[in-house]
Amino acid sequence: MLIEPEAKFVSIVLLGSFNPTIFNPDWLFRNELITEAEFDTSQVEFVHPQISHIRTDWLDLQVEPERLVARTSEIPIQLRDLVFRVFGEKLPHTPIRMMGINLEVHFSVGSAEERTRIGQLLAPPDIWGEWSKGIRAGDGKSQGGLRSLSIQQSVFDWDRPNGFVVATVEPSNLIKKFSGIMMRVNDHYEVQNVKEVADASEITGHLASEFDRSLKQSEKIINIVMGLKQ
Amino acid sequence: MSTASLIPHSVSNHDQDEDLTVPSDPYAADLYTRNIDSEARKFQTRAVNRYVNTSKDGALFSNTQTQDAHVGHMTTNTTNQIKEFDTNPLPDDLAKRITRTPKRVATFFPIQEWDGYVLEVNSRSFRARLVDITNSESKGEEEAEIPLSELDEDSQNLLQEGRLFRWSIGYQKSPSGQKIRVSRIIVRRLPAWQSEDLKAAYSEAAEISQALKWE
Repeated sequence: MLIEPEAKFVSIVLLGSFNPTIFNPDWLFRNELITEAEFDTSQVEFVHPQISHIRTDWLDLQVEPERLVARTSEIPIQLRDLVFRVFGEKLPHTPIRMMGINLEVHFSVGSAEERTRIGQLLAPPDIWGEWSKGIRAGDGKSQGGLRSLSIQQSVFDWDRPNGFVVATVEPSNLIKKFSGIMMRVNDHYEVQNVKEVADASEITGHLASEFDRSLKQSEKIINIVMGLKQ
Repeated sequence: MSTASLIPHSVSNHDQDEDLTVPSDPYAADLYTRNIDSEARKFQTRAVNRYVNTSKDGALFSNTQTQDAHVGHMTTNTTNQIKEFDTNPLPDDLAKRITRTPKRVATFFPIQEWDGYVLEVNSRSFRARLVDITNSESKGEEEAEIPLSELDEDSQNLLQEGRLFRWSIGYQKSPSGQKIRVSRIIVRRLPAWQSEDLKAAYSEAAEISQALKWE
């Protein structure tokens, strides 16, 4: 990336039908999905029929009856392999209808003034007419301007599975002195027939074939905004 | 419902010793079920309700929950009002309800990465074929001899001929901002059929890359 981020998260989000109570460290270890060392240091926040939340040293896993979120700030390939093995090997009959491969980064552009300048490039205040004076006013915490911007691509010039890509830009609340930008790219996939999905095969197939490519593409999109920094 | 990531926020307004597990798997039940009195269980259920409602209330679901008299069991009458899925990673109304600042965590930033597969494992090292996945103008496959000391014990136990791995060299940034250079080898735990497919793909890619170099 053009700017080294302060923080970077990769997540896989699945929408389908899940049993949260299955997803506990013991089950993951017994099924050889995590190592003994990871099991020993794992933390259970909750294991409940409505929600399960566990952590290992590299994995943050949160499961609800209709949504699963697996997240890491470490090497992403282990996230992809874990999710693939859970639903490609251990629980292949889980109906999963949608998947998001998400990349989120927080990076500093050096100063609040530079962040404001980039925000005004992305969302020019002048188009707001008389209100533009009010938008431009303030500084630091009271600075007006861009709060959140999302851009979507729905049509692709290559044979991509059903879905879309959304990139979101916002101020970062992880980086101090109002100099941080957060960018998130949601690479969204759907099965051919969302209403009649029977198992996890279609989505795990997309995960296997698209994961690395998706993250590379997301980094390119993020680099576009990083490249605006002077 | 969005497929973009919800930033997990744990609610720790209950005693750490309180166990909120209601397992359905009998084996898990042996590990997680404890003998606790009914008052403690009611407390647990209220704590879980707070967590569920904080995460979901108004954003994705509306839940009406009643507590069954039986210990550890909660009956949920759920009216799911699932929004038309919102592709934003964090729906705005949910983001507003989560007031806690996201926690910094250790983050890894790769500088150079290879995909590889094991050719031979010796007593102190292993030989592997590597494909550079960082540099698109790479020379195809390379062979390398890598000390076993580069891997943790669990990963060493997984090593065998044909096993795939990813080797990443980069920086680890701690939550406090300290940066150290690290080398990590992740041994891929994949079904056998996928390992074979990937190995074939790497070899093909390397051959194509080599052929293009000669043109």
